[in-house]
Amino acid sequence: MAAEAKGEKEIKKVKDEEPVDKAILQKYHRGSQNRFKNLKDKKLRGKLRSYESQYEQAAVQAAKSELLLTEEPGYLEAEGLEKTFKFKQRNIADVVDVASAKKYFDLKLDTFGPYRINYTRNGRFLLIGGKKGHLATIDWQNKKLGCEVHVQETVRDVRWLHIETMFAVAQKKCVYIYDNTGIELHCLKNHRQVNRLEFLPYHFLLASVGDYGILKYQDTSTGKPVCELFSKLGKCDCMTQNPYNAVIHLGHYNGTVTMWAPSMKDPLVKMLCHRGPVQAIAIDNKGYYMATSGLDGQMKIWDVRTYKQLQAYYTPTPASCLAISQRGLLAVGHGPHIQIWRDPFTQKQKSPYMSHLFPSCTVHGMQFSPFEDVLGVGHSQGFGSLLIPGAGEPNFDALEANPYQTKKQRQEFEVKALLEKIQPELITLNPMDIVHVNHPSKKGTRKDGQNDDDEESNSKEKFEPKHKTKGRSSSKKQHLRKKGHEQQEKKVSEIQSNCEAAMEDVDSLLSHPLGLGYFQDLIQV
Amino acid sequence: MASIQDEHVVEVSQNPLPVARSRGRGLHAKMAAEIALKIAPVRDKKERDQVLDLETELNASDEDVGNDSGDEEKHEQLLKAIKSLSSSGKKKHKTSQQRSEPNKTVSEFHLSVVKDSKQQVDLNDLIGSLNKSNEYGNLKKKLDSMQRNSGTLDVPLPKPEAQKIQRTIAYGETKKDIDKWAPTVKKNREAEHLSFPLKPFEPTKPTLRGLAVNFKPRTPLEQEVAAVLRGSAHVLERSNKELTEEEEKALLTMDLEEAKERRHELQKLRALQSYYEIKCHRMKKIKSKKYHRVKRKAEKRAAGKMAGEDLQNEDAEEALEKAERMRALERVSLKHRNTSKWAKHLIAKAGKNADAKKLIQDQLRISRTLTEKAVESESDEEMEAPAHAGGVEDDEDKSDMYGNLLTSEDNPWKLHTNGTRHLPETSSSLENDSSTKLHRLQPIRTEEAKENSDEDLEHTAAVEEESDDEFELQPVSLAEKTTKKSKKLQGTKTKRKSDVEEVEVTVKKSKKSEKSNKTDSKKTAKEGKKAGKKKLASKSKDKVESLHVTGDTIETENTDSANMDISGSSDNKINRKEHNVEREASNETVISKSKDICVDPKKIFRIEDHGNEVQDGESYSIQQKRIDIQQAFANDDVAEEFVQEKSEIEDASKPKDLDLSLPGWGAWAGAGIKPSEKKKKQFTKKADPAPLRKDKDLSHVIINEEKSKLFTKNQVSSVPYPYGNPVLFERSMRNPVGKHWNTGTTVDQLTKPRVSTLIGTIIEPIKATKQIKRYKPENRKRNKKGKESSGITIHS
Repeated sequence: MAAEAKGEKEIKKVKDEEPVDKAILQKYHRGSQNRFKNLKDKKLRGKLRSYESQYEQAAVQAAKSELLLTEEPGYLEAEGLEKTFKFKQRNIADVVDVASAKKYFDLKLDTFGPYRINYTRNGRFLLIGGKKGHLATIDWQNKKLGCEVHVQETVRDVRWLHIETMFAVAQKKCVYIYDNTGIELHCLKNHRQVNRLEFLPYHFLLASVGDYGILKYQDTSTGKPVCELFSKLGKCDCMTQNPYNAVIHLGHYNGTVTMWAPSMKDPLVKMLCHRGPVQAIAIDNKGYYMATSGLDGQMKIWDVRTYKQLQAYYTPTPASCLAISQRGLLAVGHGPHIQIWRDPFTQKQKSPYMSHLFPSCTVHGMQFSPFEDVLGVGHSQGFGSLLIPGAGEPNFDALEANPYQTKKQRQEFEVKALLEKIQPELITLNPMDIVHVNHPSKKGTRKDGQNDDDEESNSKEKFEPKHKTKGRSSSKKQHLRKKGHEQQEKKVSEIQSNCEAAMEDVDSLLSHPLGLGYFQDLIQV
Repeated sequence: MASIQDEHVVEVSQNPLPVARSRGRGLHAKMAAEIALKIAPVRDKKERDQVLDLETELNASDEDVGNDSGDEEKHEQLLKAIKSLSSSGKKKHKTSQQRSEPNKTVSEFHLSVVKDSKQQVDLNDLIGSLNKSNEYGNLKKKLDSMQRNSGTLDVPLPKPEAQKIQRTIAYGETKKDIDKWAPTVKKNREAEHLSFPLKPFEPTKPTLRGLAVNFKPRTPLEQEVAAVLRGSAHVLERSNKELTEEEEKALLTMDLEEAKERRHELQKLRALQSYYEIKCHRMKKIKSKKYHRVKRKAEKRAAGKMAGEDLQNEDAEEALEKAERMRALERVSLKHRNTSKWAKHLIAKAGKNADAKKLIQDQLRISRTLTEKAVESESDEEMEAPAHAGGVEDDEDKSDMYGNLLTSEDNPWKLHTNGTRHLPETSSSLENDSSTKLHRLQPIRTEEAKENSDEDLEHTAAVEEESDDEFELQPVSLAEKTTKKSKKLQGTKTKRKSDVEEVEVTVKKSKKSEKSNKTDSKKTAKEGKKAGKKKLASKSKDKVESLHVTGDTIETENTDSANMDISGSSDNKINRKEHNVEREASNETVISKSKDICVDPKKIFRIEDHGNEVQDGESYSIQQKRIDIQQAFANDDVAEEFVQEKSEIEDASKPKDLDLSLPGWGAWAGAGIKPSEKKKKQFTKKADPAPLRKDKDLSHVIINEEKSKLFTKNQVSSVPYPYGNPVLFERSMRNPVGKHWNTGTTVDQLTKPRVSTLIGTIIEPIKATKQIKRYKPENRKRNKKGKESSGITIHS
């Protein structure tokens, strides 16, 4: 009977579950499985078994849910003798559907100088900042102007904060935060002479770096400055964040790229990338590859995980801007030219995927619009939006960034994002470090660790006066006794420090060129 | 009490004895024995038996009183026995007991003696008479049962012991009672989550039958439909019948013969179909090539006939299309191009065999006829090609307009875009005999030929080679590169052979200079260490620069020598030597910096040096640009600074020796007295060897080894309880739980609370389930081997 029932169950299972493609499934496995079969602890074994089955199920579910990703990415394809990089934007715009064609446009804004640009995380809104003080937010797909302000000051960089109602602007002296109507909300006076801004959306951190080469983090949820890190490498105008681990990459004049986390005073990693000053850095979405360009006329591709160089390209003129799209297209801007490279990281490419020219302009800012096949370019005479087929991720995760967000959803998203805010000290090179047990592995380190712990525990241990009977343990008496103890501690520490100082004096005496005898004479006198 | 009584009794027994002797010895003796018995009723059996023996003797002696001599002896014995009794009685404390057994012989002193079982009073003795009478049946039965069940009860146990036993029994009982809960409790404890009520209320599902029975038409439409249906003969509403009325009627009307015929017909059809299928299947499986060839030809012939007729009247276009398709197929497959195994075999023979030659030519002819139309179309292409080429040029013009990016030769990304890429192919295709290929490639070639002279061919090849250099990955070793180059250059024989000698000379010179450099550098290294780091840096800088220059020359030579490879193997030696020189040079720089760094970060920039190869002619200007850029940064000692910084950091991170020596301890100290080296050595605590740095193999990277305290605070400091080792724990924590990383259902599953209750339902107390006992896995295996059983048994 029982056997039959079992058989039936199995058949049911087989019928219910469609087989999942193993290649897809592999994508969702997170690390190696636990081996628990030889464990003696039965309870633990059961627990681990259930965990493993749950995780397996999670992977299967995730693999199955790929069914919901209906959109497929595509690239521009050339036939015969045609080359993709010879297609003009005009040609592409003529061919594609009306909605997409509208995304190819130019804004001629030649009075207020080179523009820096920034898209929101859902790719819906565009922020442009002209060097001569012009600021504007645009719902660029509907061509609706949000706000337009002239700040009467130099604008060096612009950056959206977590949602489209706030943005930060690096102006002549300090960083300002405006709301979506252009009203100044804050003035961050401790960020001086800022050249570049970055916003870490999961940590609510606004990072800035400027002429003094100080990387400053400001928590935009609490408004408190988090830390200041001194790069000690002078003026810096090249900053990017690694979207995978929220580490900030700075490019310096001496050709080095430094990686920073707010919890560390020194850079996590310092790489010598170029012979000349680093001009631009771009990091791909998964945090695998980094592209750097330097004044030495080279563009290099690095593996950020191993810090090894993958490719080196030669640029005729030093590339001033780099951008990597969600699907790994690399945009290189040098002078008036823009070139898009497809799959430049793993393979040495011979020719670009696409190219474009802004006649008699220089490119100053570039960003691929998320979830769109569009590259936004801020240049000296305005803003240009280019169609780059295959640039954007076609399927968006509405929990992460929703291009079709309503106002209500935005409000909810803000609350949730604040609840899920990650503390700044959790930024490390490998975000999965948090899973690891901080076990002292080596002898030497363990000793140090123990000492530290002991010291900490000693210092932290609070003095609790003994309980005494017959009314001698009243709160007042206890307080007095505590105070007495503190004073005693102070005395002891003073004596200790005095002793040390004396010892140092003695040492200095001993090492005095005239010898100890000289001082003895002095003392006698 | 007992002892006092004993004494008294003994006295009694002792005193009257002399009196008894005087009166009648026999009677007295008997009495005494009885008394003795009474005194010690529960003595040891032995003694008692002794006494009894005496008694019997006495009894016997009563009858013959005359035997005086024997009597006296017996009397003495009796006395002895009594004495022994009294002595033993003093030692053992005994309680006197009143005898209550019935006895036949009732003595004067109301004392009875039980001699043997026969003498005991039995119930039969009392009621024996009843058996004789027929009356009192009930009473008799009762007595019977009484007699049968008569047994003496055990002495009840003392209270505490009895209670103890009671408790153990009660414990066992309750344990058994509670044990039935064990599986339930275990199951609930092991369950990942429990949702109460454990058995939720499930409303009974309405079955189709139930619905049909209870259905009552309500709305007018329903009623109408019902009315129609009720009248219809097609509706099956009759119980116990399989067919509807209509169906039954149809059956009745059908003739049996007719039905049979129809069935037969259908059977035949089906059979025929299956025969045909089998035949087709068989034909399909025939492997014989000959058969298929014959078949195909027959088919073709038939089709040709058909086509010949058709072509004239209607489907000229279709035929054309077909021909086009044939041509395409032919071109793709190269079937008649003598590429098959058979053809190759024939070609080998063709020299001698005329037939074979003919066959081959036939094949070629077929292919030509098949691709004949191609010639026309190709001629069209030829016509178009110049126009197209013009288009390309136009494009280029346009591209020129925006910044010379695509056409300018100094753009390496562009190099392969404007047709130069095809050139090597043309050169290779020159060797190819097939006329068609030449034909096709001609337009490109002509276009190119206008621009470039014959020399350009060589030049472009060189350009390509150089561009390869630029695009190559850096880690490629020099040796590999040179070989690659040589391979590439083998095709294009250059004029440079004349240069070879010069090159050789320069190589030798450079070698010498290298050697001198080497010795110098070693010296400088030593001096530098003593002098200080600053000095070292400056010196090494100079030296590195000089090496840089030499390196450049060497590399240029390298390429040249690679060219020479074609001419002879002797050049290889030079090549190798050069490599050695190179290596040495790089080694020196490393040594002079610090011992630990094994790779020079200058290696990163070596690629630029490769770019420095001076080409003759136009390419010189291209290179010049790059050189200019490099020279612009030549004075930046970025790499040296970096290396110095790294070495400083490494030194700082190394654990240091601890000097514990005290000057003046065991020796004089003071001005002018140096503490002895020996003592210092003795008292310095050597530091542990520095752990390997993460960036030890990456010369261009400094990785901060320090751990962030703020971060480590957030890590788990020790492995939590059930996990024995950290790996287990880490792996079990590897899967994120949040909705950002999982599907909705998974999140629900992963974050499900252990116990959930349904609001508004009655949660009934749990019931003990039946015990389910599982066999141990060994047993299960055995079971599997033996017979198919589930391995689960249910104990009720």
